[in-house]
Amino acid sequence: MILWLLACSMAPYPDYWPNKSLYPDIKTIEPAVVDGRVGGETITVTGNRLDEAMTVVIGGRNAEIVNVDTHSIQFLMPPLPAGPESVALSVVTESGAATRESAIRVKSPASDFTENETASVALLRYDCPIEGWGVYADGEEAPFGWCGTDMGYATAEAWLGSGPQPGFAAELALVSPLAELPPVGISRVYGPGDVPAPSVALAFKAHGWNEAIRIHTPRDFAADLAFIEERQDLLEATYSWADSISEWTLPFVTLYDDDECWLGDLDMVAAGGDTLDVDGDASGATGMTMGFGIVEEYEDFTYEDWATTGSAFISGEDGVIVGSPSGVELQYDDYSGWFVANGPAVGVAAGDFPSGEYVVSTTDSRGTDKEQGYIEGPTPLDLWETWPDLTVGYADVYLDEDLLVEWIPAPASEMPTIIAVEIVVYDMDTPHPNGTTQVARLVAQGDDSTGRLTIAQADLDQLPSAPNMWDDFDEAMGYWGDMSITRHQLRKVRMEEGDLVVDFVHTINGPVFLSRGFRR
Amino acid sequence: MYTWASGRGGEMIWLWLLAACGRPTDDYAVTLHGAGTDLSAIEALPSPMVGRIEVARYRLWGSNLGYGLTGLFGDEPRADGMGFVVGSASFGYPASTAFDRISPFLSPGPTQVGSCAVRPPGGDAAVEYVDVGDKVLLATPGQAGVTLERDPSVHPRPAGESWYVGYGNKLMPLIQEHPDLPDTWTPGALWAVSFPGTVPPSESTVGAIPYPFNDGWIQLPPDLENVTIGGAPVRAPNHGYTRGGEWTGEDDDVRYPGPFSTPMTVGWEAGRQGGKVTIVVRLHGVGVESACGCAADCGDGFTCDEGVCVGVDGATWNVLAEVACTAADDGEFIMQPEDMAGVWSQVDWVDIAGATLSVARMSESVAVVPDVLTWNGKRVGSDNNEVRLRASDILVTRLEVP
Repeated sequence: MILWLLACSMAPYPDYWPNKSLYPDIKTIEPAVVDGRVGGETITVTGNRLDEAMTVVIGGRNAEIVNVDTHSIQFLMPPLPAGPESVALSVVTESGAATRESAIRVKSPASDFTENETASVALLRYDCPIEGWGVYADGEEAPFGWCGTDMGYATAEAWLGSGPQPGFAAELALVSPLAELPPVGISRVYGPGDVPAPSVALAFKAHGWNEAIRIHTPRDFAADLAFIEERQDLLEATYSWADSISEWTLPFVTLYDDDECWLGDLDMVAAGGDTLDVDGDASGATGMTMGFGIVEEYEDFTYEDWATTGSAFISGEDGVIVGSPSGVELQYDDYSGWFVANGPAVGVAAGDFPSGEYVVSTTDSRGTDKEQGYIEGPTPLDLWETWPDLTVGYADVYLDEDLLVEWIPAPASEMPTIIAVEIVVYDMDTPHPNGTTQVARLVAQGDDSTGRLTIAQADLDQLPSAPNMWDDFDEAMGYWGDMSITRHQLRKVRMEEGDLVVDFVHTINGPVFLSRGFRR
Repeated sequence: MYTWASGRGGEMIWLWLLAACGRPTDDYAVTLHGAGTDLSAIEALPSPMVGRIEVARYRLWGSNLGYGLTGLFGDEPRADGMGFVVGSASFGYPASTAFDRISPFLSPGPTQVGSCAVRPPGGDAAVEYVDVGDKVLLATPGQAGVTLERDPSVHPRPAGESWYVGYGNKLMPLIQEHPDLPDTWTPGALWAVSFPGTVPPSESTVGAIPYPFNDGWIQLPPDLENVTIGGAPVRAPNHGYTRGGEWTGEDDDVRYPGPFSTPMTVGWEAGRQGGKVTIVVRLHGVGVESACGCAADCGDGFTCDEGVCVGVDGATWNVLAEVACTAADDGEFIMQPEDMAGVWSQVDWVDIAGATLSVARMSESVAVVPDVLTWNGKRVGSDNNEVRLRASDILVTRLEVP
C-alpha cells in the first residue's frame, strides 16, 4: 500500500520548463495585420525575456528569426495555408514558452467572405487545347495531342471537416489556390529549391454514407446544345488538322443504364428546357453523356474521334429524354472521406456548370433532404477574348518584356471574383513519379473588374526559358512552359453549423513558349 | 488475503511449479530457419529510440512493379522502370525499439554478415506522435536537398483532431547534377539533417520537440551498380520499345528465377570500402487497387477481377513474408533454397501472387535530439534521445512466382 501511494504521488515526467518566472513575456506585435498568406513580412514582437528565442511559430508554421534581443524578436512571416484570419504566435526560449492567441490577422483574397466556412465545395471547369505545339531540333514546329477533343475536363469535390475551414473551397480544386496569391500587382516566383506553399490540413469528420450535397440549376438542353456548338467552333478554330475533318456528327447522347453500362448512342434532334428529342429509343437509360464526333480523312486511313461536353441523369423513352437538373450531386465517399461527384459515366464534364441561378440542397445522415439556399452560377472566362490565347497551344511569353494578361471582366457582383495567373516551367527530361518535374513557377493575382493584369518583366526574368521541344520520338523534352488563367467565383449559403462555400473555378490552360530575345 | 495460489486448486499450482523446477534442463538443437542457433548472434538487440528519419532512392527494374513497394502507396498505375526518391520520418514518445529497426521501405538485414532471417511484415512503433516543426531537411550544407514536409501542414483548430504527425511520405523525382534543381540523391554525399522544432496549439494532443535540431548527419551510400541475377544483368523494362528506343508494341518482361528450388546468385559491383549489402526476397499476396467494370478500366499489369483491379503479379504493398539476408559488399551472394525454408511455415503457397527481390546498400547513423515536450507540458527524455537515420539505395526486380 505504501509503495502504491508513493508511486501515485510521483509524477512520471517533470515539467519541461519548471520556473514559470523565466518564461518569455509577449507584450506587442507589429504589424498586427498582414495582407496575404504568402509570407515574407517582417514582424516585430516586443516583451521581456525574449533573448535566446530559438523557435517562433505563427499560425502553426515555423517563422525565420532574423533578430533577437532581451526585449524584441524580429521574424519573417512564413507562408500560411488557407485557414482562419486570426492566428496564434508562440515563442520558445531556453527557459520557457509563451503563446498569444489571435496574435496576428492574416488577410487573404475573400477571407472576409469565407470567415464562417465549414463546408467547402470546388467545382472546376478546366479548358485546354486539343494540341500543344513544340519544336524539333531542326526548328520545325509541330503539334501533338495535349487535351484531345474534349479540350478540357471538369471536377467536383467537397470537404466537410470537423471544424472551421475558412478558405478551403478555393483550395480543393488544386488550381491556383487563393492562399498562394500575392496582393494584386505583385508576382510571387517560386524558384528551384523553394518549398511550395503549404496545403490545407483536412480534419476528418464522421459522415453518414448517404450524405450528399446537390448544386443544381434547371436543365436547359438548348444551353447544352449551345455549349456543344461552342466546342465545335473551338475545335475547328484551333485544331491544326481541321481541314481534314470530313464529317461533323450531329450532337449525340451516349446512354447508360443504372449499372453505368453502355446502352447506345442517339442523335440529338431538338431541345427545349429539360426535354430532349432524340432519334431513337432511350427506354431503360438512366444516365447519359453529351457530345459530338468528327471524322478525319487522310490519304491512307480514316480517323474517328469524339468529345464529351456534358452529362445528365435522365429518364428515357422512345424518342424523348427528360433530364435531371444541371450541376452536380456530391455524394459522401466513406473510403476517401471526400464528397465526390456522382454523375453518369464521367462524373462531371466541362459543360455541366452553366450560368444561372443554382439551388444548394443537402441530404443528412438520416436521409433528410434540406434546401439550403440559392447561389449565383458562374460566369466563365471568355475563351475567345482572353489573352494570351492559350486555346491554340502555342502562345508566346517573352521574358524580356512585361506581359499583359487580358480578359472580359465578370459581371459586377457582391460575391468575390478573383483572377489568378500562373506560369510554370517543367523539365520533361526528369521523370516525376507523380507527373512532371517543376523547375519554377510564377503566381500573380488580377483584379477581375479591370480585365487586365501586367506581369512585370523583372518577375518574368526569374523564370528560365522554355523552348518546348520534341525529341525524335515525338516526346516532349527539355523545359516546357505552361500558363493558366483562372477565375475563382465564390458563393455561399448559410447552414446551421456555418457557411457552405462554393468556388466555381474556371481555368484556361495551355503550353507557352518562354523566350528571351528570340521572337518567333 | 486471496491470491492466485491460494484457495481451492492453489496447492496444485505450487506443486506444478516445484515439479517444473526439478526437471533436468539442457541445450536443445532447435534452430531458427537458416539462421543458426543463437538469435542474438545474428541480430543485435534494437535500441529504444524517439524517431526515425529515412530517405531512399528506388529503382524499379523489373516487370509490374509499383510504388506499393515503398509501403506508402498503391501499385496502380505500374511504375516499373522508374527511379525515384522517397523520404519518411516520424517521431514519438516514449522511446521505441521499432524506430531503430523497422523501416517503411526496406528494413536492414540481420546484423551478422552472411546470414539470413525470415521475418513477418513489420509494424510501426506504438507511441504518441511528436511534432518537430514544419519540415525535416536533409541537405548538403549550403544547398537545398530533400525536404520532408509535415503532414498535416498545420494543426487544424480546435486541434483535438491532430492525432497524426508524419513527415515526407511523398514521392520525389530522382535528380542528380541537374542544371537548376538541387539533387534529391547524391551517392556518397554527407547530408546534414535538421528540423526547426515547434510547439503545437495548446489544445493539441501531440507531443513536440520545441527546439531546433541541427546536428544530424547521414552519409548516402554509394551507387549500387551492375546488379545481376544468375549472371543476367538486372535492367529496367522497356515497355513497347527495344533497348535502342525503337517501338515494337511488345511488353518487355523482366523477371528472374528466385531461390525457391535452386540457389540464386546475386551479383553487383563490389563496394570499395567493404560494408554490407541487404538482400531481401519478398512474397506478395493479391491486393485491390481500384474499382473496375472491365479489364480496360485497369492499367497495364492489372486485371479486373470481380469488379476490382488487381495486379497480375500481386500487390507489392502486400508482403506476406520476407527473407532478409546480409551479405558482405564483395560483389556476390548466393541465396539457398534453405534460406527460404522458414517462409513456408508462415505462408500458404496458394496465397502467393508475386515475388520480388530487393538489393540495397544502406547507411545508418544516429542523432541525439532535444527532449520531447508532452501535450501537458512535461519533459520526456534522457539526455540521450536517439533518432535512427537511414539512407538506402534500393534496386528492386521481379522474381518468378515459386
